[in-house]
Amino acid sequence: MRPSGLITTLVIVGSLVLAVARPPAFVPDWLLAWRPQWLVLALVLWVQQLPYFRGSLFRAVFTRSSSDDSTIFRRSMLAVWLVGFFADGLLGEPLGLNGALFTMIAFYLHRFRDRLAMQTLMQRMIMIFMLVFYTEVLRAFALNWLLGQPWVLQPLTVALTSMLVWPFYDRLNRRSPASVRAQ
Amino acid sequence: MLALLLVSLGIITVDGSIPRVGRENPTWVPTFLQATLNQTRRLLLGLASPVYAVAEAPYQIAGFIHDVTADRADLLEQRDRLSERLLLLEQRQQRFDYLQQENTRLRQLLGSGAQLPSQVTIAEIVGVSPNPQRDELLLDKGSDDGVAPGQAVLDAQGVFGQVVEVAASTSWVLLITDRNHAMPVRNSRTGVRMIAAGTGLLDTLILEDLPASTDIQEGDLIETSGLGGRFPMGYPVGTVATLGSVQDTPYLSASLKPKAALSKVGHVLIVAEAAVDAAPTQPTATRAEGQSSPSTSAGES
Repeated sequence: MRPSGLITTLVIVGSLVLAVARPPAFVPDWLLAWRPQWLVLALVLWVQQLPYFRGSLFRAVFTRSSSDDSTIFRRSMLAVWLVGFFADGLLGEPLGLNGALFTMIAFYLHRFRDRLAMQTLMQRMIMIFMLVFYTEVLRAFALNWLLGQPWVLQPLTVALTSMLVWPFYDRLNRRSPASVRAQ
Repeated sequence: MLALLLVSLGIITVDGSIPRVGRENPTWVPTFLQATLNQTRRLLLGLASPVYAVAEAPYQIAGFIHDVTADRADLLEQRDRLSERLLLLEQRQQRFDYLQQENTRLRQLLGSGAQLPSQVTIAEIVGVSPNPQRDELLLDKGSDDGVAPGQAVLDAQGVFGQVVEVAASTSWVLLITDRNHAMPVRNSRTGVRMIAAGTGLLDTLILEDLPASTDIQEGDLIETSGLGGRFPMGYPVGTVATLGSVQDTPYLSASLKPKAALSKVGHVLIVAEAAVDAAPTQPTATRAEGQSSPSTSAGES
Protein backbone atom coordinates (compact mmCIF):
# COMPACT_ATOMS: atom_id res chain seq x y z
CA MET A 1 0.00 0.00 0.00
CA ARG A 2 1.35 3.42 -0.91
CA PRO A 3 1.68 6.08 1.82
CA SER A 4 -1.33 7.91 0.36
CA GLY A 5 -3.38 4.74 0.59
CA LEU A 6 -2.42 4.23 4.21
CA ILE A 7 -3.28 7.82 5.11
CA THR A 8 -6.59 7.72 3.22
CA THR A 9 -7.53 4.40 4.85
CA LEU A 10 -6.73 5.85 8.28
CA VAL A 11 -8.74 8.98 7.48
CA ILE A 12 -11.76 6.88 6.40
CA VAL A 13 -11.57 4.68 9.54
CA GLY A 14 -11.03 7.77 11.72
CA SER A 15 -14.02 9.48 10.09
CA LEU A 16 -16.22 6.45 10.82
CA VAL A 17 -15.18 6.61 14.48
CA LEU A 18 -15.63 10.39 14.68
CA ALA A 19 -19.10 10.07 13.10
CA VAL A 20 -20.35 8.01 16.06
CA ALA A 21 -18.05 9.26 18.85
CA ARG A 22 -19.85 10.37 21.98
CA PRO A 23 -18.90 13.91 23.01
CA PRO A 24 -17.61 14.44 26.57
CA ALA A 25 -20.21 15.19 29.24
CA PHE A 26 -19.32 18.89 29.43
CA VAL A 27 -20.31 19.48 25.76
CA PRO A 28 -23.81 21.01 25.65
CA ASP A 29 -26.49 19.18 23.65
CA TRP A 30 -27.00 22.04 21.18
CA LEU A 31 -23.39 21.69 20.04
CA LEU A 32 -24.16 18.21 18.64
CA ALA A 33 -25.95 19.87 15.73
CA TRP A 34 -22.60 21.37 14.72
CA ARG A 35 -20.82 18.02 14.33
CA PRO A 36 -19.04 18.04 10.92
CA GLN A 37 -20.13 15.48 8.33
CA TRP A 38 -16.93 13.44 8.73
CA LEU A 39 -18.07 10.63 6.43
CA VAL A 40 -18.77 12.95 3.48
CA LEU A 41 -15.38 14.64 3.94
CA ALA A 42 -13.64 11.26 3.92
CA LEU A 43 -15.62 10.29 0.84
CA VAL A 44 -14.54 13.45 -0.98
CA LEU A 45 -10.92 12.67 -0.13
CA TRP A 46 -11.33 9.09 -1.35
CA VAL A 47 -13.04 9.96 -4.64
CA GLN A 48 -10.48 12.64 -5.46
CA GLN A 49 -7.79 9.97 -5.33
CA LEU A 50 -9.59 7.55 -7.64
CA PRO A 51 -8.51 5.61 -9.66
CA TYR A 52 -4.97 5.80 -8.22
CA PHE A 53 -6.12 4.83 -4.76
CA ARG A 54 -9.17 2.57 -4.69
CA GLY A 55 -9.08 1.38 -1.11
CA SER A 56 -8.96 -2.00 0.58
CA LEU A 57 -12.72 -2.53 0.16
CA PHE A 58 -12.40 -2.14 -3.61
CA ARG A 59 -9.55 -4.66 -3.69
CA ALA A 60 -11.41 -7.06 -1.45
CA VAL A 61 -14.48 -7.00 -3.70
CA PHE A 62 -12.93 -6.76 -7.15
CA THR A 63 -9.46 -8.28 -6.57
CA ARG A 64 -6.45 -6.60 -8.05
CA SER A 65 -7.30 -7.16 -11.71
CA SER A 66 -6.49 -4.16 -13.86
CA SER A 67 -9.24 -2.74 -16.05
CA ASP A 68 -9.99 0.36 -18.07
CA ASP A 69 -10.98 3.60 -16.36
CA SER A 70 -14.72 3.30 -16.96
CA THR A 71 -14.83 -0.19 -15.39
CA ILE A 72 -12.86 1.06 -12.41
CA PHE A 73 -15.26 4.00 -12.12
CA ARG A 74 -18.32 1.72 -12.14
CA ARG A 75 -16.76 -0.60 -9.58
CA SER A 76 -15.75 2.37 -7.45
CA MET A 77 -19.34 3.58 -7.43
CA LEU A 78 -20.41 0.17 -6.16
CA ALA A 79 -17.69 0.29 -3.46
CA VAL A 80 -18.89 3.77 -2.45
CA TRP A 81 -22.47 2.50 -2.29
CA LEU A 82 -21.37 -0.39 -0.05
CA VAL A 83 -19.63 2.05 2.30
CA GLY A 84 -22.86 4.07 2.39
CA PHE A 85 -24.82 0.91 3.14
CA PHE A 86 -22.47 0.19 6.05
CA ALA A 87 -22.97 3.79 7.25
CA ASP A 88 -26.75 3.15 7.35
CA GLY A 89 -26.18 0.33 9.83
CA LEU A 90 -23.63 2.36 11.73
CA LEU A 91 -25.83 5.44 12.12
CA GLY A 92 -29.11 3.52 12.51
CA GLU A 93 -30.67 5.27 9.51
CA PRO A 94 -33.02 3.74 6.89
CA LEU A 95 -31.12 1.25 4.74
CA GLY A 96 -30.04 2.61 1.37
CA LEU A 97 -30.15 6.28 2.41
CA ASN A 98 -26.42 6.88 2.78
CA GLY A 99 -25.72 4.56 -0.14
CA ALA A 100 -27.78 6.80 -2.42
CA LEU A 101 -26.31 10.03 -1.02
CA PHE A 102 -22.71 8.81 -1.20
CA THR A 103 -23.17 7.54 -4.77
CA MET A 104 -24.52 10.92 -5.90
CA ILE A 105 -21.64 12.76 -4.24
CA ALA A 106 -19.08 10.38 -5.74
CA PHE A 107 -20.62 10.76 -9.21
CA TYR A 108 -20.57 14.55 -9.00
CA LEU A 109 -17.00 14.68 -7.71
CA HIS A 110 -15.75 12.23 -10.29
CA ARG A 111 -17.53 14.04 -13.12
CA PHE A 112 -16.01 17.41 -12.21
CA ARG A 113 -12.75 16.16 -10.77
CA ASP A 114 -10.49 17.95 -13.22
CA ARG A 115 -12.29 21.24 -12.66
CA LEU A 116 -12.18 20.84 -8.88
CA ALA A 117 -8.44 20.15 -8.99
CA MET A 118 -7.87 23.61 -10.50
CA GLN A 119 -9.76 25.45 -7.76
CA THR A 120 -8.25 27.39 -4.88
CA LEU A 121 -8.69 26.25 -1.29
CA MET A 122 -11.39 28.85 -0.67
CA GLN A 123 -13.35 27.70 -3.74
CA ARG A 124 -13.06 24.09 -2.62
CA MET A 125 -14.29 25.06 0.86
CA ILE A 126 -17.34 26.70 -0.68
CA MET A 127 -17.85 23.59 -2.81
CA ILE A 128 -17.72 21.45 0.36
CA PHE A 129 -20.24 23.75 2.03
CA MET A 130 -22.70 23.38 -0.86
CA LEU A 131 -22.11 19.64 -1.18
CA VAL A 132 -22.64 18.92 2.53
CA PHE A 133 -25.59 21.31 2.69
CA TYR A 134 -27.43 19.63 -0.21
CA THR A 135 -26.58 16.18 1.19
CA GLU A 136 -27.95 17.06 4.61
CA VAL A 137 -31.09 18.65 3.15
CA LEU A 138 -31.76 15.43 1.21
CA ARG A 139 -31.08 13.39 4.35
CA ALA A 140 -33.39 15.61 6.42
CA PHE A 141 -36.08 15.30 3.73
CA ALA A 142 -35.80 11.48 3.75
CA LEU A 143 -35.83 11.28 7.57
CA ASN A 144 -38.79 13.65 7.71
CA TRP A 145 -40.66 11.54 5.16
CA LEU A 146 -39.81 8.15 6.68
CA LEU A 147 -39.47 8.80 10.41
CA GLY A 148 -41.34 12.06 10.86
CA GLN A 149 -38.19 13.80 12.07
CA PRO A 150 -38.77 17.58 12.25
CA TRP A 151 -36.98 20.06 10.00
CA VAL A 152 -34.15 21.81 11.81
CA LEU A 153 -31.22 24.06 10.94
CA GLN A 154 -28.82 21.13 11.12
CA PRO A 155 -27.99 21.01 7.37
CA LEU A 156 -26.71 24.57 7.63
CA THR A 157 -24.69 24.09 10.83
CA VAL A 158 -23.20 20.78 9.67
CA ALA A 159 -22.23 22.32 6.31
CA LEU A 160 -20.54 25.26 8.04
CA THR A 161 -18.39 23.15 10.35
CA SER A 162 -17.58 20.70 7.55
CA MET A 163 -16.37 23.61 5.43
CA LEU A 164 -14.13 24.81 8.25
CA VAL A 165 -12.66 21.33 8.81
CA TRP A 166 -12.02 20.69 5.11
CA PRO A 167 -8.54 22.42 4.95
CA PHE A 168 -7.11 19.59 7.08
CA TYR A 169 -8.46 16.98 4.65
CA ASP A 170 -7.35 19.11 1.70
CA ARG A 171 -3.83 19.23 3.08
CA LEU A 172 -3.74 15.43 3.19
CA ASN A 173 -5.10 15.23 -0.35
CA ARG A 174 -2.57 17.72 -1.74
CA ARG A 175 0.32 15.82 -0.20
CA SER A 176 -0.61 12.47 -1.67
CA PRO A 177 1.16 11.16 -4.81
CA ALA A 178 -2.24 10.36 -6.28
CA SER A 179 -3.16 14.02 -6.26
CA VAL A 180 0.09 15.01 -8.00
CA ARG A 181 -0.52 12.42 -10.72
CA ALA A 182 -4.10 13.55 -11.17
CA GLN A 183 -2.90 17.06 -11.88
CA MET B 1 -25.05 4.98 -10.97
CA LEU B 2 -28.70 5.13 -11.95
CA ALA B 3 -29.11 1.45 -11.11
CA LEU B 4 -27.58 1.98 -7.66
CA LEU B 5 -29.88 4.95 -7.03
CA LEU B 6 -32.95 2.96 -8.04
CA VAL B 7 -31.91 0.05 -5.81
CA SER B 8 -31.32 2.51 -2.94
CA LEU B 9 -34.70 4.14 -3.45
CA GLY B 10 -36.41 0.75 -3.39
CA ILE B 11 -34.62 -0.31 -0.21
CA ILE B 12 -35.31 3.06 1.47
CA THR B 13 -39.02 2.84 0.64
CA VAL B 14 -39.39 -0.72 1.92
CA ASP B 15 -37.12 -0.32 4.96
CA GLY B 16 -38.66 3.02 5.90
CA SER B 17 -42.17 1.58 5.86
CA ILE B 18 -41.26 -1.25 8.25
CA PRO B 19 -41.78 0.06 11.80
CA ARG B 20 -38.91 -0.72 14.13
CA VAL B 21 -41.05 -2.05 16.96
CA GLY B 22 -44.57 -2.10 18.29
CA ARG B 23 -46.82 -1.70 15.26
CA GLU B 24 -48.10 -4.04 12.58
CA ASN B 25 -45.86 -4.48 9.57
CA PRO B 26 -47.21 -3.11 6.29
CA THR B 27 -49.13 -5.72 4.31
CA TRP B 28 -47.77 -4.66 0.91
CA VAL B 29 -44.21 -5.67 1.81
CA PRO B 30 -43.60 -9.44 1.36
CA THR B 31 -42.63 -11.21 4.57
CA PHE B 32 -39.40 -12.60 3.15
CA LEU B 33 -38.30 -9.07 2.16
CA GLN B 34 -39.00 -7.76 5.66
CA ALA B 35 -37.09 -10.66 7.19
CA THR B 36 -34.16 -10.13 4.79
CA LEU B 37 -33.94 -6.41 5.54
CA ASN B 38 -34.19 -6.99 9.29
CA GLN B 39 -31.46 -9.59 9.09
CA THR B 40 -29.29 -7.26 6.97
CA ARG B 41 -29.76 -4.50 9.52
CA ARG B 42 -28.77 -6.85 12.35
CA LEU B 43 -25.69 -7.89 10.37
CA LEU B 44 -24.69 -4.26 9.72
CA LEU B 45 -25.23 -3.40 13.39
CA GLY B 46 -22.95 -6.30 14.32
CA LEU B 47 -20.30 -5.11 11.85
CA ALA B 48 -20.59 -1.57 13.21
CA SER B 49 -20.01 -2.69 16.81
CA PRO B 50 -16.18 -2.49 16.58
CA VAL B 51 -16.44 1.12 15.35
CA TYR B 52 -18.52 2.00 18.42
CA ALA B 53 -16.05 0.10 20.61
CA VAL B 54 -13.15 2.20 19.24
CA ALA B 55 -15.18 5.40 19.68
CA GLU B 56 -15.91 4.47 23.29
CA ALA B 57 -12.31 3.41 24.01
CA PRO B 58 -11.11 6.82 25.34
CA TYR B 59 -13.88 6.79 27.96
CA GLN B 60 -13.15 3.17 28.88
CA ILE B 61 -9.44 3.94 29.24
CA ALA B 62 -10.18 7.07 31.29
CA GLY B 63 -12.46 5.01 33.55
CA PHE B 64 -9.80 2.33 33.94
CA ILE B 65 -7.14 4.92 34.82
CA HIS B 66 -9.52 6.51 37.30
CA ASP B 67 -10.14 3.11 38.92
CA VAL B 68 -6.44 2.29 39.09
CA THR B 69 -5.40 5.63 40.52
CA ALA B 70 -8.32 5.95 42.96
CA ASP B 71 -7.33 7.07 46.40
CA ARG B 72 -7.59 4.40 49.14
CA ALA B 73 -9.45 6.77 51.46
CA ASP B 74 -12.01 7.47 48.70
CA LEU B 75 -12.52 3.75 48.12
CA LEU B 76 -13.04 3.11 51.84
CA GLU B 77 -15.53 5.95 52.03
CA GLN B 78 -17.34 4.61 48.97
CA ARG B 79 -17.41 1.11 50.49
CA ASP B 80 -18.94 2.45 53.73
CA ARG B 81 -21.53 4.39 51.75
CA LEU B 82 -22.45 1.32 49.70
CA SER B 83 -22.66 -0.86 52.80
CA GLU B 84 -25.13 1.55 54.35
CA ARG B 85 -27.12 1.62 51.15
CA LEU B 86 -27.11 -2.18 50.96
CA LEU B 87 -28.43 -2.39 54.51
CA LEU B 88 -31.21 0.02 53.68
CA LEU B 89 -32.13 -1.87 50.50
CA GLU B 90 -32.11 -5.22 52.34
CA GLN B 91 -34.55 -3.79 54.85
CA ARG B 92 -36.77 -2.58 52.00
CA GLN B 93 -36.45 -5.98 50.32
CA GLN B 94 -37.81 -7.68 53.45
CA ARG B 95 -40.78 -5.33 53.39
CA PHE B 96 -41.19 -5.92 49.65
CA ASP B 97 -41.18 -9.73 50.10
CA TYR B 98 -43.92 -9.43 52.71
CA LEU B 99 -46.01 -7.13 50.46
CA GLN B 100 -45.51 -9.41 47.49
CA GLN B 101 -46.79 -12.42 49.43
CA GLU B 102 -49.74 -10.41 50.65
CA ASN B 103 -50.41 -9.22 47.11
CA THR B 104 -50.35 -12.80 45.80
CA ARG B 105 -52.81 -13.91 48.51
CA LEU B 106 -55.19 -11.03 47.72
CA ARG B 107 -55.00 -11.79 44.01
CA GLN B 108 -55.86 -15.40 44.71
CA LEU B 109 -58.85 -14.24 46.75
CA LEU B 110 -60.00 -12.04 43.88
CA GLY B 111 -59.43 -14.79 41.36
CA SER B 112 -56.98 -12.58 39.45
CA GLY B 113 -53.92 -13.96 37.68
CA ALA B 114 -50.56 -13.74 39.42
CA GLN B 115 -47.85 -11.42 38.13
CA LEU B 116 -45.29 -13.02 35.86
CA PRO B 117 -41.70 -12.98 37.08
CA SER B 118 -39.27 -10.92 35.01
CA GLN B 119 -35.70 -11.72 34.06
CA VAL B 120 -33.24 -8.87 34.29
CA THR B 121 -30.02 -8.40 32.33
CA ILE B 122 -27.50 -5.74 33.28
CA ALA B 123 -26.09 -3.86 30.29
CA GLU B 124 -23.67 -1.01 29.79
CA ILE B 125 -24.26 1.99 27.52
CA VAL B 126 -21.49 1.98 24.91
CA GLY B 127 -22.70 4.57 22.43
CA VAL B 128 -25.24 7.26 21.65
CA SER B 129 -26.96 8.06 18.37
CA PRO B 130 -24.94 10.67 16.45
CA ASN B 131 -28.20 12.20 15.27
CA PRO B 132 -29.23 14.81 17.87
CA GLN B 133 -32.86 14.52 16.68
CA ARG B 134 -33.07 10.94 17.93
CA ASP B 135 -32.77 9.82 21.54
CA GLU B 136 -31.20 6.40 21.12
CA LEU B 137 -28.43 4.55 22.94
CA LEU B 138 -26.33 1.51 22.11
CA LEU B 139 -26.01 -1.21 24.77
CA ASP B 140 -23.34 -3.89 25.02
CA LYS B 141 -25.84 -6.77 25.22
CA GLY B 142 -27.57 -8.38 22.26
CA SER B 143 -29.45 -11.47 21.13
CA ASP B 144 -26.65 -13.71 22.47
CA ASP B 145 -27.60 -12.47 25.95
CA GLY B 146 -31.33 -12.98 25.43
CA VAL B 147 -32.15 -9.40 24.47
CA ALA B 148 -35.06 -8.99 22.01
CA PRO B 149 -36.84 -6.02 20.41
CA GLY B 150 -39.58 -4.56 22.58
CA GLN B 151 -38.01 -5.35 25.95
CA ALA B 152 -38.14 -2.61 28.54
CA VAL B 153 -35.01 -0.87 29.79
CA LEU B 154 -34.82 0.59 33.30
CA ASP B 155 -32.22 2.27 35.44
CA ALA B 156 -32.00 2.60 39.23
CA GLN B 157 -34.44 5.52 39.27
CA GLY B 158 -37.07 4.62 36.70
CA VAL B 159 -38.02 3.70 33.16
CA PHE B 160 -35.33 4.38 30.57
CA GLY B 161 -36.69 3.18 27.21
CA GLN B 162 -37.22 0.08 25.11
CA VAL B 163 -35.06 -2.08 22.86
CA VAL B 164 -35.73 -1.40 19.18
CA GLU B 165 -32.92 -3.20 17.33
CA VAL B 166 -30.80 -6.15 18.28
CA ALA B 167 -27.54 -7.56 16.91
CA ALA B 168 -25.61 -10.51 18.29
CA SER B 169 -23.74 -8.54 20.95
CA THR B 170 -25.27 -5.05 20.87
CA SER B 171 -28.71 -3.46 20.85
CA TRP B 172 -30.24 -0.01 20.26
CA VAL B 173 -32.54 1.46 22.88
CA LEU B 174 -35.14 4.12 22.12
CA LEU B 175 -35.39 6.48 25.10
CA ILE B 176 -38.80 7.41 26.53
CA THR B 177 -38.08 11.04 25.64
CA ASP B 178 -37.71 10.39 21.89
CA ARG B 179 -40.30 12.18 19.76
CA ASN B 180 -41.54 8.88 18.33
CA HIS B 181 -42.04 7.23 21.71
CA ALA B 182 -45.20 7.04 23.79
CA MET B 183 -46.13 4.74 26.66
CA PRO B 184 -49.18 3.97 28.79
CA VAL B 185 -48.80 5.29 32.34
CA ARG B 186 -50.94 6.01 35.38
CA ASN B 187 -50.96 8.45 38.24
CA SER B 188 -49.75 6.60 41.35
CA ARG B 189 -51.91 8.82 43.62
CA THR B 190 -55.22 8.47 41.81
CA GLY B 191 -54.73 5.54 39.41
CA VAL B 192 -55.84 7.63 36.41
CA ARG B 193 -54.45 6.17 33.21
CA MET B 194 -52.84 8.35 30.52
CA ILE B 195 -50.21 8.41 27.77
CA ALA B 196 -46.72 9.86 28.32
CA ALA B 197 -45.06 10.94 25.08
CA GLY B 198 -41.50 12.03 24.32
CA THR B 199 -40.63 15.57 23.30
CA GLY B 200 -37.08 15.16 22.01
CA LEU B 201 -35.76 16.84 25.18
CA LEU B 202 -34.03 14.58 27.70
CA ASP B 203 -35.64 16.32 30.68
CA THR B 204 -39.26 16.55 29.50
CA LEU B 205 -42.17 14.23 28.73
CA ILE B 206 -45.73 15.34 28.03
CA LEU B 207 -49.02 13.76 29.02
CA GLU B 208 -51.27 13.54 25.98
CA ASP B 209 -55.06 14.01 25.70
CA LEU B 210 -55.59 14.76 29.36
CA PRO B 211 -59.23 15.79 30.02
CA ALA B 212 -59.59 19.04 31.99
CA SER B 213 -61.47 17.19 34.73
CA THR B 214 -58.52 14.85 35.43
CA ASP B 215 -57.42 14.69 39.06
CA ILE B 216 -53.73 15.55 38.75
CA GLN B 217 -51.38 17.82 40.69
CA GLU B 218 -47.87 19.11 40.29
CA GLY B 219 -45.48 16.68 41.99
CA ASP B 220 -47.65 13.60 41.35
CA LEU B 221 -45.62 10.48 40.63
CA ILE B 222 -46.45 8.92 37.26
CA GLU B 223 -45.65 5.23 36.88
CA THR B 224 -46.02 2.56 34.24
CA SER B 225 -49.52 1.08 34.01
CA GLY B 226 -48.45 -2.26 32.56
CA LEU B 227 -50.96 -1.88 29.72
CA GLY B 228 -49.63 -2.83 26.32
CA GLY B 229 -47.52 -5.56 27.88
CA ARG B 230 -44.19 -3.88 27.19
CA PHE B 231 -43.24 -2.07 30.38
CA PRO B 232 -43.65 -3.80 33.74
CA MET B 233 -46.33 -2.26 35.94
CA GLY B 234 -45.48 0.13 38.75
CA TYR B 235 -42.08 1.50 37.72
CA PRO B 236 -41.69 5.27 38.15
CA VAL B 237 -41.62 7.26 34.91
CA GLY B 238 -41.52 10.83 36.19
CA THR B 239 -43.12 13.50 38.31
CA VAL B 240 -45.56 16.13 37.08
CA ALA B 241 -43.52 19.30 36.60
CA THR B 242 -45.99 21.75 35.06
CA LEU B 243 -49.76 21.87 34.59
CA GLY B 244 -51.83 24.24 32.49
CA SER B 245 -54.97 24.42 30.43
CA VAL B 246 -54.96 24.39 26.64
CA GLN B 247 -56.85 27.41 25.39
CA ASP B 248 -60.25 26.76 23.74
CA THR B 249 -60.02 23.01 24.32
CA PRO B 250 -61.29 20.74 27.09
CA TYR B 251 -57.78 19.41 27.68
CA LEU B 252 -54.95 19.99 30.13
CA SER B 253 -51.30 20.35 29.18
CA ALA B 254 -48.96 18.59 31.57
CA SER B 255 -45.25 17.96 31.45
CA LEU B 256 -43.24 15.36 33.33
CA LYS B 257 -39.69 15.37 34.58
CA PRO B 258 -38.33 11.85 33.94
CA LYS B 259 -37.11 9.92 36.97
CA ALA B 260 -34.43 7.99 35.07
CA ALA B 261 -31.04 9.63 34.60
CA LEU B 262 -31.36 9.71 30.81
CA SER B 263 -28.41 11.99 30.14
CA LYS B 264 -25.96 9.94 32.18
CA VAL B 265 -23.92 7.05 30.88
CA GLY B 266 -23.53 3.87 32.90
CA HIS B 267 -25.40 0.66 33.50
CA VAL B 268 -29.06 -0.12 32.84
CA LEU B 269 -31.36 -3.09 33.33
CA ILE B 270 -33.08 -4.89 30.46
CA VAL B 271 -36.29 -6.56 31.61
CA ALA B 272 -36.67 -9.72 29.54
CA GLU B 273 -40.23 -10.54 30.43
CA ALA B 274 -42.63 -7.77 31.38
CA ALA B 275 -44.68 -8.40 34.50
CA VAL B 276 -48.06 -8.14 32.83
CA ASP B 277 -51.27 -8.93 34.60
CA ALA B 278 -53.09 -11.93 33.24
CA ALA B 279 -56.73 -11.31 32.32
CA PRO B 280 -58.84 -11.14 35.47
CA THR B 281 -61.50 -13.77 35.91
CA GLN B 282 -63.85 -11.39 37.73
CA PRO B 283 -64.69 -7.90 36.50
CA THR B 284 -64.38 -6.43 40.01
CA ALA B 285 -60.63 -6.87 39.88
CA THR B 286 -60.09 -3.82 37.69
CA ARG B 287 -62.76 -1.45 38.96
CA ALA B 288 -60.48 0.25 41.45
CA GLU B 289 -58.03 1.16 38.70
CA GLY B 290 -59.65 4.57 38.17
CA GLN B 291 -61.01 6.26 35.10
CA SER B 292 -59.50 5.63 31.73
CA SER B 293 -58.33 8.28 29.34
CA PRO B 294 -58.82 8.06 25.58
CA SER B 295 -56.45 5.77 23.65
CA THR B 296 -54.89 4.17 26.71
CA SER B 297 -53.62 1.11 24.92
CA ALA B 298 -52.59 2.56 21.59
CA GLY B 299 -49.63 4.64 22.55
CA GLU B 300 -46.69 2.30 22.34
CA SER B 301 -44.39 3.09 19.53
